Amino acid sequence: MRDVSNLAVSGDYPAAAEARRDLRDARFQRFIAGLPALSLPQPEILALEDGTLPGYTLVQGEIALKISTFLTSRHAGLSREESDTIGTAAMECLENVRVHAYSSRNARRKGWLIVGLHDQATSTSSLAILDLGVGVVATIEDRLGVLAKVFSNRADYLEEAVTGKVTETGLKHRGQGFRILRTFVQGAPGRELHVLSSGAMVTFSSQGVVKRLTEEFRGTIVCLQIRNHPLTTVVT
Amino acid sequence: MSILHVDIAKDFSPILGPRHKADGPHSGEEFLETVLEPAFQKHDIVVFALDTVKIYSASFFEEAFGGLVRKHGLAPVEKKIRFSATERAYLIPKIETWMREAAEPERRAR
Repeated sequence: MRDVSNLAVSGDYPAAAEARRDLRDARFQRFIAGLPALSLPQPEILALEDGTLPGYTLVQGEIALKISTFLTSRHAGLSREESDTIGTAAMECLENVRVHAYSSRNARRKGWLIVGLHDQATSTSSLAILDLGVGVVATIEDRLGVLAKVFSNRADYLEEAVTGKVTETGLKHRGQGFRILRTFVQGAPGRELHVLSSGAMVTFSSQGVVKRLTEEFRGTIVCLQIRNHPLTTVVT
Repeated sequence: MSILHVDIAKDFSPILGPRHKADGPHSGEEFLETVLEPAFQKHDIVVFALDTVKIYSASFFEEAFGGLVRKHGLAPVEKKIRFSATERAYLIPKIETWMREAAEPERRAR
């Protein structure tokens, strides 16, 4: 029996249909599932839930707690520090979405989308945070300056952004969400971080970094996947 | 010598928010202004309990304790501020690192 679990969605969401279309266009299902052998119809693999919560600034902590609970309750092998890491990274990613992803307050009304998915068959949990903002590369482009010349394509730009050497603010202690997640997935096998933005996708894992160009996608998808050994998975 | 014990979850919030007040409730900036700074000014030693917090962000702690260092300097802050944790013992050196990093000149020039 497949367990598909949704998480909350925050933001006033007239753009839900648009978000779904962008997800489809980005072929999000393919990489969030990562399991072509299952051959299930897409709606069973990826379930989206949209809703309205007035005052998006009020819910960041609550949503991050839901994300953390969603993942940690299904992966009993995670330590307290690792559980905290997930929550912390979720908080940072949500902050990125709200503060950095949208160029104007009006644009923020497009909201964002959070999707949780747990596949019992493979003991894999996936968590994705989507925004319809300007994209990671556009966010840091001005900051790159002369560095921009060394990047040959958008995938290189994106990797640079995710590895945290350049942030929108130019301050080293900002932009911690990606760095925290990257360290988390590289610390153990069975974990992957996918960042899809600005026409490129970068995947981090303990195996290294894989990057490629994709179809143009307006916005950013950050996807965290955790796959456990079956013995350490909590059956819900 | 006056020692104040602060349980962050009970005395502020179990769910810690983002960096700045403008970004949401229970932010690091709000904690700095309403809890940390007054406690720092009033007491000789302030001990912050970390275990009961449900969720936190790195930005929260960096803004709060790093912000205190940016305002007063590292030495007086290190002299007064303590942390207590069992389950989250790992977090103490992280916060202390953020405090030390906040003392670096390039970070103070915000």
